[in-house]
Amino acid sequence: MRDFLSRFLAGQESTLYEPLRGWWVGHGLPAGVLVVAWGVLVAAAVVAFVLVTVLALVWLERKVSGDIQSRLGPARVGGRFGVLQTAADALKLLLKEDIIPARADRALFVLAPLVTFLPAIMVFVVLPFARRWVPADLDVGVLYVIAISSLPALGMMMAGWGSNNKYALLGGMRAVAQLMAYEVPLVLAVLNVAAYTGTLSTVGIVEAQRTGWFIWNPALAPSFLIFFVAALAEVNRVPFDLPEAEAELVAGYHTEYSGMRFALFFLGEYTYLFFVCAFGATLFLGGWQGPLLPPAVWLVAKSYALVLAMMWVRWTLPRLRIDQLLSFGWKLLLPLALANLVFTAFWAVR
Amino acid sequence: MELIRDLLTGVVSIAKGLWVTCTNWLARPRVTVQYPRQRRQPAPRYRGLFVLRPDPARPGGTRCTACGLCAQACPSQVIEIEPAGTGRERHPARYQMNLARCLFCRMCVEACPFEALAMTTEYEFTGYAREQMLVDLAWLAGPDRPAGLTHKELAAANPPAEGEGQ
Repeated sequence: MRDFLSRFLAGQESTLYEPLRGWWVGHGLPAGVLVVAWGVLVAAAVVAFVLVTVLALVWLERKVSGDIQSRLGPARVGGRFGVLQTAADALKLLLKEDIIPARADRALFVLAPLVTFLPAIMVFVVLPFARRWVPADLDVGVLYVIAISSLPALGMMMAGWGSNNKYALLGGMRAVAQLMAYEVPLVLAVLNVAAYTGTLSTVGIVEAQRTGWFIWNPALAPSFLIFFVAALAEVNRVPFDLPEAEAELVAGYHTEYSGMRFALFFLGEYTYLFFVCAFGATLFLGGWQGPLLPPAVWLVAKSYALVLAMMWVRWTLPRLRIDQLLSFGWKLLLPLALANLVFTAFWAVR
Repeated sequence: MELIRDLLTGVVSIAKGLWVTCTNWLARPRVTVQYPRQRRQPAPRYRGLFVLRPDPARPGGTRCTACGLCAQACPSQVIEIEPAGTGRERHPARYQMNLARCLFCRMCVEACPFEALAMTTEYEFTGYAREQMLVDLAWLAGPDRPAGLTHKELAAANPPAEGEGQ
């Protein structure tokens, strides 16, 4: 048992799945039921992890911003460090009145938070926490992430249009314009890694970093920078938080949202923030690899390091104008990413 | 060339900004005062609530002679006085301040020739109705009120700088 546990923590044993399957089939029970039940179990584990992570991230963000701005941040709910502040806030949001504006497009308005939140959870399918700790090791994992990760912008546009509010609509339009500007360099940066390793599987990419993290690789280090900047735009964080620019657009696309629907947007935003950082850690920082500690701990630690870097940037820089963002994305990031890819393709690939 | 220079200044300025926030992040200077739990100690010259000084020569009475100079000096008509007695016995029968109107400019304290009216550093004064913003003689001269500072005491504690008016 002890042996099994240590191998399990080291990510060797996929889970309890194989022994369980043997027992299940041995008793003549239908294997299909187990597959479905197992899928539900894994999904529940992922969702539970995500929810706890989001609570922690929101708390961390408020503490970090407090530190940077010489304030205290949450300091009351749950001890003097306010660790239960986000839990209390979430509870409060659950109790809030659910308001749908009279002139809103009801279907779009109701669907939009789900369309924004679900992709943020869906991408976790290919995130490897350890060698066998990945819900599904798809051959096209990276492609899957790229495909799914542009969906939240659709949800923002739906929210902006469905709200029937000019600020919300402007926010939604900006989300889409922004998507065009950063998605292409982001994809090129990710493609660079794929071209270098010759695989689109996230597990394969991590295993290719056994000899050295890609951030130290001269062909891939620029890609990491491009990825980081584009990822900031991808998760709509300052300095690229144009879709919800408070000063200009009230709250952008989620101006008209309240209660649980607003909470879903918020949840999606932070879920996605964590995923993007975990994905960056997987692609460039060696994923789960690291000495002594269990692999999952390494991945989470690296992700949190990137999250802290993003928070640091958020509480330092002012917001860009939309034209600055577009010209930055198209005129600078894109040529850089292309040049990087060409360099990798012609000189660095073995 | 222009582009490269822009890029370099951009990178440098972002790095500078990140350095500023990073040092602040790690040094954690805290300016927050968690009000009900912690309280700031205002400077002695803070313009807080008023107090009418008791007169040692008149047990139970104040130094106020109801001359009305404070009410005259007040730009907001905060003070209402009804005098009683004559000569050395003259004193206020009623001394009411409407603190809802008061702008805490200290002109009344400066006007008082008998150092009867003083300002304390108390800054907590709340109520649920406008009537609760009225304070009377009993409150102003109450037994547990702090002494505060009269205008002369304040001037002695903070002499005007060289070249400053009077």
